[in-house]
Amino acid sequence: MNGKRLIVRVLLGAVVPLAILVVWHLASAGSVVVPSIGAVLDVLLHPLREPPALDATSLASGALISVLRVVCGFGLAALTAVPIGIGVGRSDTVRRLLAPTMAAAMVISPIAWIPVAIIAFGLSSPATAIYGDEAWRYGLLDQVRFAIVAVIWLGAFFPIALNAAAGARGVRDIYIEAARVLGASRRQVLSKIILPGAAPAIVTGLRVGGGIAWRVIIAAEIFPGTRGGLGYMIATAHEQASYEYAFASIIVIGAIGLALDGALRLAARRVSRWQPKER
Amino acid sequence: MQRITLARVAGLALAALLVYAGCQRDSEPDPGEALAAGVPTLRVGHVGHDHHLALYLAALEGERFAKDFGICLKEVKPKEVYDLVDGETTLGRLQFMKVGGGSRMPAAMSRGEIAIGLGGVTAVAKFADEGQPFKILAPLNTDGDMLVMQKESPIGNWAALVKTAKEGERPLRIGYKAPVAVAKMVFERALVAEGVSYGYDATEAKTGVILVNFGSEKSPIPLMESKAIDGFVMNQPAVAVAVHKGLGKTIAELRDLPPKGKWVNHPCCCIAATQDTIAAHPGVLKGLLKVILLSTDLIKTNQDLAIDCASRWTKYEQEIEQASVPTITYLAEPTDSWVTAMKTWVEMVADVKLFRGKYAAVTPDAFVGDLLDLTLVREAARELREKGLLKTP
Repeated sequence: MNGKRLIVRVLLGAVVPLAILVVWHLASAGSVVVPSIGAVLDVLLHPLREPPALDATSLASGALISVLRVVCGFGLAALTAVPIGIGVGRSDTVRRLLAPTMAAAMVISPIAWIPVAIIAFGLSSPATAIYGDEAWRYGLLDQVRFAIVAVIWLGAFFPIALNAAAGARGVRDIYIEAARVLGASRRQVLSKIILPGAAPAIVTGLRVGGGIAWRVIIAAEIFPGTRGGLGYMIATAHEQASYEYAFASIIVIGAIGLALDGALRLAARRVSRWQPKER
Repeated sequence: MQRITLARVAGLALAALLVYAGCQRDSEPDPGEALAAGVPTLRVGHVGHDHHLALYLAALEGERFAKDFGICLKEVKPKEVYDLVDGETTLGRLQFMKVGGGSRMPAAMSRGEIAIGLGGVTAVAKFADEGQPFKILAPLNTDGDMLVMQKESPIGNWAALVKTAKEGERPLRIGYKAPVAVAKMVFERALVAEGVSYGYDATEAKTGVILVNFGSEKSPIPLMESKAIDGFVMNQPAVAVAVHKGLGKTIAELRDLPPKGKWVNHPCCCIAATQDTIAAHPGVLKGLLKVILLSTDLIKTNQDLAIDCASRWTKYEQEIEQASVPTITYLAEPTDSWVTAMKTWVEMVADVKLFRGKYAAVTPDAFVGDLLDLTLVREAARELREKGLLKTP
């Protein structure tokens, strides 16, 4: 019975991907823009190969550069948004100070900030900050442009902060009062009551923020001076009409995004384990 | 316990990634690479396509330049860092930055991120008009703009296009990449010269030609494949790509469109620098201009090498560069014809009110006198001619 159910589940899950493959195959016949499945598979199966007809690094190298940018932007967003969100959630003063601005900024697409980020950070990177004129020797670090990281940060910050605020606000006052009666310090209240209480909402914010960070990277990687990354590869592939690389990059972005979301969903499940008990 | 372990593993993996990125060196410093005190490092912005072939050929053929001309770009890191060497003297270290086309190059120069820029005349002039202290030091190329139609279109030449636009049942839809692109402006004026009406509104059934902006796509390929447009006007190598991919056919070079002779040598890309760079590093600029002059000479006299270098640098397929490079007029030494074409271009952009700043009300002569600083390139050309190194006139 269990085996049957599993087969049905797998088959149901495979219907849409199979339909996509069939449509893709039909659309690729005689098309320049839609490459054949085989051509895209060839790119995916040779991730270390330098593209022969594309001014870009290998797919694997591009993915590494993109991951690095997202890790930096998303990591910074998590580090800054969680404390600010908790502040907004637990303090009336902080909420009055920041909540209207955050609500307004949340609805602005991070891509709209690209020109501002370029003006603010130019072509600077951790490599230029550390190594100055010798930054070119540290190609990977030099590709982590502050402007790109800033746009990713902007994209991920608001959903994380607003979810953290909602989570912190939702922690029942009775728990905090009980902890204080038992002699807990402010730090203990924060670490033992508020943070665990807000954790499910924070992780939900991280999932949303992570998804946005991956969406933003495609637009952000067309920054001046960029030489690699999956977004750069997509843009260059469009320009040079090597669409198999654009499609392969899209698939890799989807796969990495799925893995990131899976990891965060797992984390969400772990930190939310206590919730049913509470209800 | 398990949660802590997972978090630790994830944290360690991220930390390892960041440490790897921070320490990963592309090249170890070589004692021979060390720059002598006072040798400047300058960033050179470029677009990455074959209009800037003169720079790429010089970079790829450094050894040939050193042997034949004594001045060269010595590779330090491929496609990124080169030392400009004249005889035994290193004039400067040049860091190449692929900054992108359109306004991106002058924008990067205005922010001080690059000192020298290779890019379109239109964008450089627009920024100068707005008060940026930019000067055009030399042309890089002219022409190379084409009119391409769908491969199976019955329209095979300019006369047929004019006839169809005037007598056809529906307007022709012709794509363009940007509102102030030279190709689009030349095409519009040629239509006017032929008495063909044009517009931008697809509902204007009585218009002979509807002009369609590619928008952010910047590539005509998807619009050509979907038959959303009947053809497009654009510069190389986009034209060669469309033809090579079997989607289009070139029916006219825009330089040949009416009024006859008016668009010959119409400006495309140039080398520009800030006035600060010109004042601080005239020796480096003159050296670079010498290399560009010699490289342009080589492109004209050794087209096989030029096509090979274009393909090696841009990574466009060899067949595409074979179709593209011969249709571009590479030019580094300013000619009277180029200066005249610049003046014609100024009159053309005045119609669309491109300039709203210091060039808004100036004559073409005054514009050319202010924006062009051809002193260094003329000196460089004279010195090379004195040594008998320049082969073409």
